[in-house]
Amino acid sequence: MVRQRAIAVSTCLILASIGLVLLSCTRSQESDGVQLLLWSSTNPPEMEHARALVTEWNLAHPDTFVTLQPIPEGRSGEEVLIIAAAGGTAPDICTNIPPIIAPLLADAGSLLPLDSINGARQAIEARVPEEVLATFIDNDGLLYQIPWKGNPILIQYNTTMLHDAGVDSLPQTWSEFAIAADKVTVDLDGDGAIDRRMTLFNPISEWRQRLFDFYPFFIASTGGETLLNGTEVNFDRLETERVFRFFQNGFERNWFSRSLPVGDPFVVGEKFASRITGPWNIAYTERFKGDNFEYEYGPIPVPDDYVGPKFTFGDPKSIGIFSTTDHPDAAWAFVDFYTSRSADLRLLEITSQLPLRRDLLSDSLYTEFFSQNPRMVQFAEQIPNTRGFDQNPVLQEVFDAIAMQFDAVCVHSRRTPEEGVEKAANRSRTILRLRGNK
Amino acid sequence: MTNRWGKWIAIVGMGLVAFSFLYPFLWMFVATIKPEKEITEVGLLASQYSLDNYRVLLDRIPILRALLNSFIVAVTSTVSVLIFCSLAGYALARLRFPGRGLIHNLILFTMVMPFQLTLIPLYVMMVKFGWVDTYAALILPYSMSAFAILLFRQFFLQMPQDLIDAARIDGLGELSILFRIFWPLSKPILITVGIVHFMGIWNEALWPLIVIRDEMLMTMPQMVALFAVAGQAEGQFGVQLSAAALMTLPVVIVFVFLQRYFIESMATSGLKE
Amino acid sequence: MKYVDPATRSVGGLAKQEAHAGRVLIAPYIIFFLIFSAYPLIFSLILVFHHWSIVGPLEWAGLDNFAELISDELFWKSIVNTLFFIAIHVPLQVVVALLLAAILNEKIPARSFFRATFFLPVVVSGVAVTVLWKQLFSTDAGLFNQVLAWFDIARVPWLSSPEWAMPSIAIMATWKNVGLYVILFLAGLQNVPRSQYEAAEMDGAGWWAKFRHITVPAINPVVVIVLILSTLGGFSLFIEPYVLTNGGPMNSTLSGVLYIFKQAFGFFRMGYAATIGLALAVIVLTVVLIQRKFVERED
Repeated sequence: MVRQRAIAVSTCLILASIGLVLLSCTRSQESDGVQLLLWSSTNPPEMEHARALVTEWNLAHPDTFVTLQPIPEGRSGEEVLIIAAAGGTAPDICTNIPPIIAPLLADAGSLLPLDSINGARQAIEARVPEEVLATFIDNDGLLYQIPWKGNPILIQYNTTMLHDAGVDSLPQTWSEFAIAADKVTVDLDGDGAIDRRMTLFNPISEWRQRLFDFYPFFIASTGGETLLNGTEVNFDRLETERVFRFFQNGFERNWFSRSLPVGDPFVVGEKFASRITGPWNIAYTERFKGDNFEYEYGPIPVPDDYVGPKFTFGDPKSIGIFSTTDHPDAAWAFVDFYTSRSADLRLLEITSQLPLRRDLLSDSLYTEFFSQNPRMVQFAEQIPNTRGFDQNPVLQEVFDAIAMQFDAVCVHSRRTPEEGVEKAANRSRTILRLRGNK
Repeated sequence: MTNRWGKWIAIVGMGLVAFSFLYPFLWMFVATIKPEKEITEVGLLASQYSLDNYRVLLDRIPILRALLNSFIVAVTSTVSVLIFCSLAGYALARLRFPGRGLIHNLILFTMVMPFQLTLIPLYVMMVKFGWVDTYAALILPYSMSAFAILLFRQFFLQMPQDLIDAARIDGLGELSILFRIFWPLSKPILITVGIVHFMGIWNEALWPLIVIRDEMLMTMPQMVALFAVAGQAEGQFGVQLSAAALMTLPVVIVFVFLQRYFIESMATSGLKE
Repeated sequence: MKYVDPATRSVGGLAKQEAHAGRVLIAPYIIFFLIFSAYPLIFSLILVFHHWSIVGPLEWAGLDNFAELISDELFWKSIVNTLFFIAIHVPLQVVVALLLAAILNEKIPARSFFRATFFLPVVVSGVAVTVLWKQLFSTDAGLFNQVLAWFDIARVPWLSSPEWAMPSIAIMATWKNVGLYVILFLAGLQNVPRSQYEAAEMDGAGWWAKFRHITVPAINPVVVIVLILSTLGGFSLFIEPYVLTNGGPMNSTLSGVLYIFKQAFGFFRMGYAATIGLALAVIVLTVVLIQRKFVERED
């Protein structure tokens, strides 16, 4: 009997430990004054930036104490936030909201509409370029996120290699690109394998990668259009077919590789003459490049008949205030400080990422930074002509539908661009009809 | 004469096959100490060897912590399985109580229930319990196993009843009978269950990928898989291979010493599954 | 009043005690079962009738998820992929394992060394094996293509062509698992007494006759195990395509579990992901049952 009691006791112990785990996960909420929990991206420069700003804020505002935590990073930043919102462990403020999931969080009531806070929307409209801001506004007309920073996507060329191949200027149009690409792409030792290619793209079947090949080219060749128009498909058009054909041609002529080479074949391996990338790459390139490695950034090439400014994908990130916060006004005050002129200067200096603001190149506060970092000027100039994501909860699925066709049409040449675009558009329409309407 | 030739051909053939099983591992370990530019070469010779890849690896991800996590998770859940499943197996084999048949059928049912069915609900449960990013999520769902219970039950059924009767006359309770009398006689089944369960958990990647996103709680397979998929390795293949090598090495060492037990255990469980 | 023998009464007491002990010893499993089997099972049956992004409330969906599943190209593609994997993997596995086991069954030197060598990939983590093979399979600089080049054979796009990707994964899976089946086949073969072969030889039976009438019956149960385990393995294929191809190229390596993963954690569609899970479970059970029936009839 004693032993059976022992089992009963041990069973209870297990239950108790389950209970303890449960308890330990509920946050204690005792404090005097306003307490705010802030989540920031884990990458070291962004953490450093956040730490500096939080310290400064806490010194100046003893009544509103902000605690900084890195976002527990995982498979994707999106999922972490969704789980936090679902599990009731969301912070008050998060500075790393991917705009692509903002509609999902907004629909579920997890994000606070900024229109509900006095003065917030006006302040945001004053800071962010109007056309850039437009893609952040939800279909219900409200703004659930503070557009914070962007990383305009450009093409980084190895100019040494271009010169060796007889290319003297960076291609601006598709024809120029084709001429350059044909010169660069060769089998140097005659063994039947291509040793030098034009551009490094990651051909893996994952829609996220399409943000760094298809999407910038789509935005550039349509002069700043995005995939959706409200809840309607906006990519069922000639330009999309032409972009598909451009990539199909590129893979067929070996400008791009169908398999992702191992290692870093651009900076280290020097097997590609260019790659598509953002400003974060400058530091990396400087650290790993060889002695003769010269590089420049060029715009996304456009169709020959295209006229107008050069657009690209801006890879934006937002700040969000969660609706579970007890102190929306204090949270906004902090975010306002976090996106202020001086905070944005620090963002540039510490992280080399660009704040989404109108006056980036005209404000004298930033002049010194750009004169010291001339490569950043090109990216900053691009900011007003960047596009982000349509605000629709099914946008990821629309991207996925396009990615599937990109795979079949461009990488593997199993379908014509026309068929591919039609299939992607039809699939997207079905998805939008079933779940994309509010 | 033909027979002798046949024998030699068989031996050479086996040698070649064995080579194809061993060389990739050997190549992997050597590749991790080659310079990045020479990694892709088929041979083992390189201009120089260094441990740089491991240094970069340790610098970039807490892989030793992952090793520790894997160990904690696998040991805890294996111990739990050995204790609680032998309890259940003993009860089902040697004690008559109402509902025994029903419970036996339930266990058989959960064994044939494909995991795809409960994957999403289990994950949702972890989220709602707040167990995401805790050891509890890694250990508790693996703290018992229907298969282990059935193995214990089958083994205990073969024990002579006299053993139990004698022990009861001596005044021993059921727990004492199980742990003091049955366990010492059950080494083969304890080893089998222990090894099979331990290896299962040690190599499990899907579940940790689903419930853990805090780097400090990741297990080896998850961390290495994410490292190979995500950009953290910055495309350096030597570093990715080093991670795989670090994960393989302890298993290879243990296997070399205990191969007989490994092979027998996994073969037994394979036959019964 | 019936007369009750004191001995029986005490046996009755003992039986009660035994029943009590039984209930206590089985209790931990009951708790485990309720939390980790029964609850998820019931919840899954609720989820399939709902749309749910995990944040916010469950939305009633009726049969929407099932309607979508039936017309979902990708779901059917994942099933076809899985069957394709099984169709390559099973014969390859059986032939290679049987061949190796047959040789190991002869008196050759270093048998236990060979046995252990073939078994090594079985114990090594699938993730490690996959990361290693990712390099072996690389089109430009992979070991396989370099070795093929020695014999003037053109590069094979192992993982980058829709036709080759799944067979490549099946080859890798065979290399990883064959050791286990070698051991199982070997056990089957060793159950056959040598005298049976000798007797057959005396009757003038040739190699084929011996194989057909003595070896095949001995290893038949193992073939069933290979079939069933490979089917289960095929339907739970995940980490290999996750690390190597992410389901591509052109969804040729999209497996059922990878598709669940994508819907649940990529698009946050818990209801639909649960529906795929339910469908997969039904298919797995059906296929395994059919295999069992089919093989039993053969016997």
